Amino acid sequence: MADLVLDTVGDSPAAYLRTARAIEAGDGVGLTPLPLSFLSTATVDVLRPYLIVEGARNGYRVLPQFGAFNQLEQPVLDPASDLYRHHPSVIAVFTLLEDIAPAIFECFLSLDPAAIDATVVGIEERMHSLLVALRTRTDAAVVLFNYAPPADPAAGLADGMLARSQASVVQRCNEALASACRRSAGTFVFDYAHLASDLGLSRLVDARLWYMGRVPFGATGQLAVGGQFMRWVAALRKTPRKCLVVDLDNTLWGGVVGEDGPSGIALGDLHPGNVYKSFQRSLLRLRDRGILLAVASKNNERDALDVLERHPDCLLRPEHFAAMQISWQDKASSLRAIAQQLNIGTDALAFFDDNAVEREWVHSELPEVAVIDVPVNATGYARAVTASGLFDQVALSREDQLRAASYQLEPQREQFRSSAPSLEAFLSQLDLRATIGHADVDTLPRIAQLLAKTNQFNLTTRRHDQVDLQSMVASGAVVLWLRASDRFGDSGLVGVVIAVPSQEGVWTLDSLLMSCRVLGRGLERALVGIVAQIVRGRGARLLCGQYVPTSKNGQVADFYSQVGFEPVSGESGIWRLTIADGVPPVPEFIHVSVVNDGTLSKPSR
Amino acid sequence: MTEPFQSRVARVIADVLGVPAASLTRDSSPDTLPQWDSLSHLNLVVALESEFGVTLTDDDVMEMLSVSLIEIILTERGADA
Repeated sequence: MADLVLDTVGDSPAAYLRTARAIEAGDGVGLTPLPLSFLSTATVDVLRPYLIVEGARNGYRVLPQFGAFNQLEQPVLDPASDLYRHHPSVIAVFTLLEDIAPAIFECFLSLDPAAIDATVVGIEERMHSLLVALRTRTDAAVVLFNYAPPADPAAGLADGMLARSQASVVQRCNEALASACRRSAGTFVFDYAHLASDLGLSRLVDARLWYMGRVPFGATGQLAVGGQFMRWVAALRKTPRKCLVVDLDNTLWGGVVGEDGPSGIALGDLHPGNVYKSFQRSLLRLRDRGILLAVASKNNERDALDVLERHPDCLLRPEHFAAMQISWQDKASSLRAIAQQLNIGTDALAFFDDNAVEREWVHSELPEVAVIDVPVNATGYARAVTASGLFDQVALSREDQLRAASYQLEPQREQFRSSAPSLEAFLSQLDLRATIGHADVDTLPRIAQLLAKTNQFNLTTRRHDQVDLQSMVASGAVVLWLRASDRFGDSGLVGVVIAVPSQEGVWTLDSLLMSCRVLGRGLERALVGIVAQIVRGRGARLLCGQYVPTSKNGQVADFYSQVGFEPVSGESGIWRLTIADGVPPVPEFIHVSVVNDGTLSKPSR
Repeated sequence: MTEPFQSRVARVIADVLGVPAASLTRDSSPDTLPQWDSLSHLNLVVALESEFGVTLTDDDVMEMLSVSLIEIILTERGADA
């Protein structure tokens, strides 16, 4: 069968040609025939072996047919054309913008805005007419390849500075294609622009092939286009998996919660915890698209729930999961139970587990479950889920899109920044919240991580580890952490300050740092204000600060002067502030709450 | 044990053109093989470059018009003969 042939293809052009011939000669037995027609303004016939082989990987015996060079309307409008005689189930339209709208490439800089608008409208109307003509004559799915960004913009390096860059005009043309597709049922866009940027234009195109035969892609590009397009065709015809079942330990976080404890697992804003937090974020995005999430984990339920319910950096909470099987039973049984609880078939499940033995067991017990190939490194987890194609959809419903939009936090925040009149106004509208608390067993590992890694906004760069911190607290130091959030989301634990009593009525700021992701929001002032307030409550009348210069912390050389400290004459880098009568104010636009007066002996849990 | 240079060349040409390697001679060319059309010629370029890890020049592409010429050009470009 085709499996045997496909395993040995490799990625050389000769091997694809040989394998494609073998499939055409009869090795394609058992594959679903898929007549596929291309209409094109370029020579795309070179895709044939890649379409056939990649199609076979997806279960299809692709029967490609390529229309006459540079003919779009002619075959579409002629009911007796080869196009219709081929009875295609998918019709792909590959056009080059150079052919459809030559002015955009030949004299871009002399086009006035009205001419550009007219060109964009013209593309939409031409494609709309083409799609309507096809729709009245065939029930094939029709897919328009959209346009790659310009390889050599007319304005050169300056394209990005133009009020209307050439790249943005190409993007408008892509929107015109999408708009044309939304006007006709069963018509879609294949995002060639994304493929081009993912692969790189310089790798996509081989100039020799272009000049010799108007072939728009080189060997690497042909393979990429064939593979990605057949993945798209498969997505068009298959139902995506309904539910992704994930493991917990070493999957949603690094480490084993049963052994390392909730404070010992890797999950947070610093490496390696940020890898897992980011993977959780990618799963939330999947959920926003309507994919159910479920858990199958071998764990003590209490240990696992401790993390899911209470870990400050765990983005996936119990309410995000449609079903949870946390016990010591085997995972095939867990998956059956999940399917039953959700009232879906086990063939609607996909399974993601870092443990190869569990994957193999599930595959052998429940071959209908899609078991995702999980890479050794967690940095590849999110890509593995995407690349599996199991959740591919060629179009999202309006509801899907609305739901997805509400989670685009970072772009929203940026957009908000650009529309706010001043930084002060921006900050005051941001609904900044700072939560400040004393170090406890939950936060100590992250505090130590921040001390170990923060270089830029770090006044003394003292790398205290957890043991140091514990003994400092035991001898009376105040160790505070700061978590920041705003109306767009939670930034996590991002600030640390350590104050130690040095003599009667005098406290010294041993360490003060902020993660660079949240600088420029006044949070550091809040942290100084609160620590001053707390040590004042313990009898401090004078607060000393120290700046130890390093090659990286130049930006905070003036920090103490900015928050009202005075230099101590004769002592370089030492600053002092009298707090007997009051402490530095917390910026008004930050809502600060102090959550515990805890000590290390009193965990928050 | 490595495959002899000439048989590697013949194998790639045979794969691209879809003809038995044994049917190729050193004089086989676009004139003697109907399968060796302009599209196949472009496929040959990328297939040979991929197989032998070389980059062919524009002139090479126009001149590689027989099995023996292909062997000579590949050798000039540094393919291990």
